[in-house]
Amino acid sequence: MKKLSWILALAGLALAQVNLSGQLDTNFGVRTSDATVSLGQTTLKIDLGYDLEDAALKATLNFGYDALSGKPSFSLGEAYATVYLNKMDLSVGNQVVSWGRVDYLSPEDVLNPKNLARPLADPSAQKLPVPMVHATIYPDEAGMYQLEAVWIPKFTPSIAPQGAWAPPVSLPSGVTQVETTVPGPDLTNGVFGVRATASFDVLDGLDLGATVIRDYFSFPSAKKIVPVDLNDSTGPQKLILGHDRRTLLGADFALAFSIPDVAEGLVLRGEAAYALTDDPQGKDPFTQNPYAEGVLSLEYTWTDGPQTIVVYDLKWQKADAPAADTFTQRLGLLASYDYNERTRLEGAWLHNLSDGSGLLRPQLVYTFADGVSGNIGFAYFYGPANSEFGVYNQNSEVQLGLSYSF
Amino acid sequence: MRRVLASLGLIGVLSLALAVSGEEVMKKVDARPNPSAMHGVMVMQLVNKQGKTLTRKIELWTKKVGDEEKMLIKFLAPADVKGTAFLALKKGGKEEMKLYLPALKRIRRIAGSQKKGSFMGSDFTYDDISNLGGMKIEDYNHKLLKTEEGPEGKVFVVESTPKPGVEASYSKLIVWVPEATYVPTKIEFYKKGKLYKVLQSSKIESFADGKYLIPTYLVMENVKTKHKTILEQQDLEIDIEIPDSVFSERFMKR
Repeated sequence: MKKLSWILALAGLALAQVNLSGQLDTNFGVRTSDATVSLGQTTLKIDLGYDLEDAALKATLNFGYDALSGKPSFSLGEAYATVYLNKMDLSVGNQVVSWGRVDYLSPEDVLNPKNLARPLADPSAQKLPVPMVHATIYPDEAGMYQLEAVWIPKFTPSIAPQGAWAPPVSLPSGVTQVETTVPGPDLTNGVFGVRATASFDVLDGLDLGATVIRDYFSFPSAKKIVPVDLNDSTGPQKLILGHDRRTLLGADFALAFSIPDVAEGLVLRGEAAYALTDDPQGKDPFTQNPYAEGVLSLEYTWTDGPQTIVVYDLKWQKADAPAADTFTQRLGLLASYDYNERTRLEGAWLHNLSDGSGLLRPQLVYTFADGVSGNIGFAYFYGPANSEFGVYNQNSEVQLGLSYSF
Repeated sequence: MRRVLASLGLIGVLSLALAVSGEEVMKKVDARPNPSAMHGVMVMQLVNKQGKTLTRKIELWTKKVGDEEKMLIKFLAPADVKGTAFLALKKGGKEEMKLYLPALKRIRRIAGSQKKGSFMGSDFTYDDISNLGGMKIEDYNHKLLKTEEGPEGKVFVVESTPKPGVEASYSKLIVWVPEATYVPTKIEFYKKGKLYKVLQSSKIESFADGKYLIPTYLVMENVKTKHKTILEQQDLEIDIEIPDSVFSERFMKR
């Protein structure tokens, strides 16, 4: 009995030091093309944190209920321990690591798989935490230089758009089945990444970064077509999908500067990545080809006005010979304006210059009380039916949400 | 009669000029010792015209060595911004600012233009917060407008205008400085010549055996919108040893 009292007392003491916070979100969406309810989700996220002098533990529990399917859900979010050593932070567990400088269109930010089942979901919530070892080394006290290394023992693929968001699929003639293979939990199948960053006293401040990642394409591609019945080569066929290896070489920068008498306090961000694959010449139709992507963004906050970010994105994709390589250009504009301490207006516009499609997302966020906010927004897709955004023409929707943080 | 009034006015101006100048008053304000390092919690209440209140809570570290100033702010409440951290490093007229957003798990270098933007929806700008320790008086021309009698005795009213070429958020400041303490109790902020905001400071507390006098209760009111922000400083620790590693990206993420 005495022993139990001690255990309870210790447990109570431990719980008393646990930081508990969380967020309850309810979101509804109505598709404008047919006035059907396209979203009805309630999620409860509980964050637990425990801080020690030279270590910290963190765990996130996600509970959800989808009113459309009537299904509840539970998932473990980030759950990891960090030890703060003399010049190194070492984190082990289920976690999200963001690399790169540019928000949302970052070509270097590929370590975590994404849940794109609903492409309109909050991009930061789409990243799926995966088990990894993450070390950050700080050679100098001021933190001007940093070296990071990540090892993900087992590759986890991204989740493709589902339901009404699933893109149309056309199978090759004779194919009746599709099978997807995922690299197994073999030590040689792991994902590795290193990143070095440095800050310099140039103009109003310059950050540089370089990244090397050895991983897999997050979505599968065709590997081979085999007969469903191996004894009947003329019968129905099966398409085997798999994930190809890639080596991503990336570089990025952020530069703060001013143009005297014109604009004070601008930030220019840039990021570029080149993906090397096993088929650099595009000779093998069953192996992914190389690609490169570069993004430039310029941020400025207008006096008593909005914060604006203009983004330009250029992507090159090596085509299978003899087809011509493709170039895709996108232009984005992000703006947010605090009308007052309770009302914020946000807007995002992304336009594909190559196919004429785009997405427009205005949103109004209102804070009712501390930690309680509501939002109403609209997502409008436009462009030809077979274009990047036009494929979702029927999915334009009005969204309504309520959020309580504690 | 007009000549007499003019003469009286001139005598008044001369007597003020002989007694003390605006420059001297502001030099005495500047000469008051400022803590080299400070750590504390600030509770901010945003009160709108209808009296409805939102509360923000931040933890603040500041350090000043020579011409180098460092400031780190961690947001404690409300829960939806908890964990966000803001770092400002000033050196030799240059200032760099970084923001850590826990939802994005990323540290972003942010635009200097944000300095003039609202700090967490309050009536303070980022610039106001980083200048709470005091403005750079050599960047301004100071003119003594008048003296007043207040509960704290004689009060100097000084007009400070930025010198040509100085990047300043406001076109003019009018500062009320009690002779007894030389700690400003009221500042009017003007933009394009029009009164924009009024800052009142009170609950002046003494730290380090009276070496420092610091107002711990500030009220900033926007004259046009009638919106006000009450900023209360709690658990202040003065002149403590804060390692440089606190003002780093590593500490922002912890």
